Amino acid sequence: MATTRERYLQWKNRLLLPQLPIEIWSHVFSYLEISDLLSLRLVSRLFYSCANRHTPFWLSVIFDIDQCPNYLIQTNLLNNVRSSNVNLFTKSNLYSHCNIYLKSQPLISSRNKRRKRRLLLSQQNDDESKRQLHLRCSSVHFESLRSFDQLQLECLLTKRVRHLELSYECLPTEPSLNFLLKIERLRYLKLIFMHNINELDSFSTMIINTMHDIIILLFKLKSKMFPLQRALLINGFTLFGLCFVSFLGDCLCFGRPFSIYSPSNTYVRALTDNLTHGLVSVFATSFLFGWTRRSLLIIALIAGSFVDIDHFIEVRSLSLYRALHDQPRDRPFLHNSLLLLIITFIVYTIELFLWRSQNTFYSIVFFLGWSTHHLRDAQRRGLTLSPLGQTSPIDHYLPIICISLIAMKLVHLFVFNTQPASYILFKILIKLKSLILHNLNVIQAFPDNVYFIEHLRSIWLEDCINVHFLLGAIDTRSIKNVIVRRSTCDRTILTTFIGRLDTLHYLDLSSLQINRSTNYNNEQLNLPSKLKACSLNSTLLQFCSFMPHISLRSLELIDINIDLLSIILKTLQSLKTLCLFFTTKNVSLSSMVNHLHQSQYSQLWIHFHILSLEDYDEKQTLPSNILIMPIKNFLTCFCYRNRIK
Amino acid sequence: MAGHKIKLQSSDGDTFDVEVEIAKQSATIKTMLEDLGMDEEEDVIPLPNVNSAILKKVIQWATHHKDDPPPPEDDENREKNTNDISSWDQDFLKVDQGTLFELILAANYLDIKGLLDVTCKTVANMIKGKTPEEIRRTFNIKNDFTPQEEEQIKKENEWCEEK
Repeated sequence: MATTRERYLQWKNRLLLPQLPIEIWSHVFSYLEISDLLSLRLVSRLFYSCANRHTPFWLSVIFDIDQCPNYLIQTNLLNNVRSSNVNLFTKSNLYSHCNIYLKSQPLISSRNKRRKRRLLLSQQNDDESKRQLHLRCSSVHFESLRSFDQLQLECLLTKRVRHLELSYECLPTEPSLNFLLKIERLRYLKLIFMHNINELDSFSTMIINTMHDIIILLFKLKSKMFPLQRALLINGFTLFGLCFVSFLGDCLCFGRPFSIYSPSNTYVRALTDNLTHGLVSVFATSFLFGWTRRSLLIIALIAGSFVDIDHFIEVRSLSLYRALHDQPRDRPFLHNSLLLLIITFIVYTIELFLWRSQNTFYSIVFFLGWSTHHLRDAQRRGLTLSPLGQTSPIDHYLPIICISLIAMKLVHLFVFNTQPASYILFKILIKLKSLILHNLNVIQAFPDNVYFIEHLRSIWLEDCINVHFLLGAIDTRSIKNVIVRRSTCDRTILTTFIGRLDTLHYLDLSSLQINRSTNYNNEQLNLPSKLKACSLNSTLLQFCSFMPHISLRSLELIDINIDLLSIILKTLQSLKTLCLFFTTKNVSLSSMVNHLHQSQYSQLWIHFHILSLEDYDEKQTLPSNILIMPIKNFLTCFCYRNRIK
Repeated sequence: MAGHKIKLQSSDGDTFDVEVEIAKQSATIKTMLEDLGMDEEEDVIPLPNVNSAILKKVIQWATHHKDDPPPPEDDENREKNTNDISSWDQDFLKVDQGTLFELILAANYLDIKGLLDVTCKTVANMIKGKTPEEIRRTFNIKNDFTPQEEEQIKKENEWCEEK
């Protein structure tokens, strides 16, 4: 027990503690888990507000609205709401500050759909309530859908909902999941199937069929088009931007039609003029092809500004002064519209015949680039059509550009188009990005002609059986993260699936079981070329081929032996972090550490995750880039969850 | 320029000779050197916010960690772990709380990410698993809530659930 003097000294020492600023406290708090943040919030006002504002506290807890009847929450940062209760239509408006407003509403138990809709509508007559009937938060978790019905769900979950988590018991009394198709901005869907299938009797077959139907329903969650008004608005803005940029460029470079400010330096003027040419071409291209394809826009910028090179070629000098003053009387060759028109036509024909199937528009982008450039120049000198001669200066070139662009767009839309017209006209609103499925059980393949949700970025399958039926039906074009845990999968389909993922960044197969497939072959698992982090278990390691790889940064390996490890480290030079997990007791850990220490991998962070720290007691000899720590609950060290969201 | 040294001056006037490569772990000193230019050999960099005892510890830490690989880039994607402090750092940070806080402030001022992380992790470990009252006693913090407010936050906590 401490003496009085010691306690006095401790007390005095604490009084002298320097005060830490709030940003350092928030840095400290960022290392804490939710359970500690909960007690931190009770310490003092400073800690309370710091935990609320500067930590992901409200993002990572689920607030149970069923439990707080008449209580004002002090924060407006609430993001996640859970409910299992249909009585959440309460009368109080106390929740408005936390983005939820729930209206008083009796349960309507009519079977007649039309009547029910009328009843629902009659209750929201006043404008106030019409606006606020639905859940006003971006993320919703449902414990069970049992007490809801289809229509209520449609009303509750509207535009704002981006994240949705629900568990589904596959019972006939539950509402169907058709309401998912109505949630416009759904980005993230987590679907947990609740069932207990041990053997295939008639009841479980029924449940499996229900799950199968739900997956087919998910196939229908395709990308949606922009509504017409929005598309028109965007196109209008693009045209306006084109006119504005070109007008501004004219005013700055030539002081015409208004002279606001004209830079005296010739270099600045030449650059501004050229940039204006480039930007006009970019706007024209984006009017035709949309803003989404960045490579096209860069080509357009180059196509708009390359024309002026011929001034330098003509005088055979790089000096701007000579290019401006020593020009011959004729316009240089790249300013000859007739010549470029002929070139464009030839290129276009070649393109049309050679790459008909792919949508290559390079000749059109090239055409837009030079033609806008010539038209802008024509306001001073007219168009050069040698050997035919020259036109007189064109004063109003902007209306000409706009009208021809609109005409081209219409022609493009209705003549050259194999896809539905709206597909080109209106850009696609990318919808569902992450899909998480738990406990899925599939026994049959999905129809071949349906594809999975397009533009899906992440897929996470956990505790699922026969994943390969699903993998075969996934649209692989933009997938970046794949996580398959505690599931079973066929080897052949897995290897072909992974091989097709060109855009994959994160791959976690740490607890995947491989079915010995009937058509067993020796196909190797190849890591996709853009992969950055990867997690593999010992079964997969047996047939994974490690080719030299340039983008892989982090690797997690489970139960690996020393020979394979040294091969992997020699092939994968780009690795920065390596996590090794050992799930068995008797590991020759010290020999592995010695090997790594001797082989000079000092630029690599290495984590050893072992069952208990008692197995290893020579901590002192460790170099500073190697750490040994016990395995927590998961066989993983990377945090994929943030990636998925 | 291996072995090239600069002088760092603490708030109480002592100067320390430090190799440039070691001192450059501090982003603040690195920018200072780059802004001032490195030609004048006799340059003394004044560090008015750090006293001698703390500066000595910081230099000791930086000397031990001079060969470390730079910390991994994609920071927010990794789980924040507090038990991955190396054993040398653990021994190094067995100091009284005042010194620890001074080290944090110095690391923050000098902008040494590795030191700031490891010290903050140590403080986070001091918070872990403690009750609010214990945290208050550890860091000498006064409870400035009214009883009603405290009751409200307790209720709020009950309705929050870990994801």
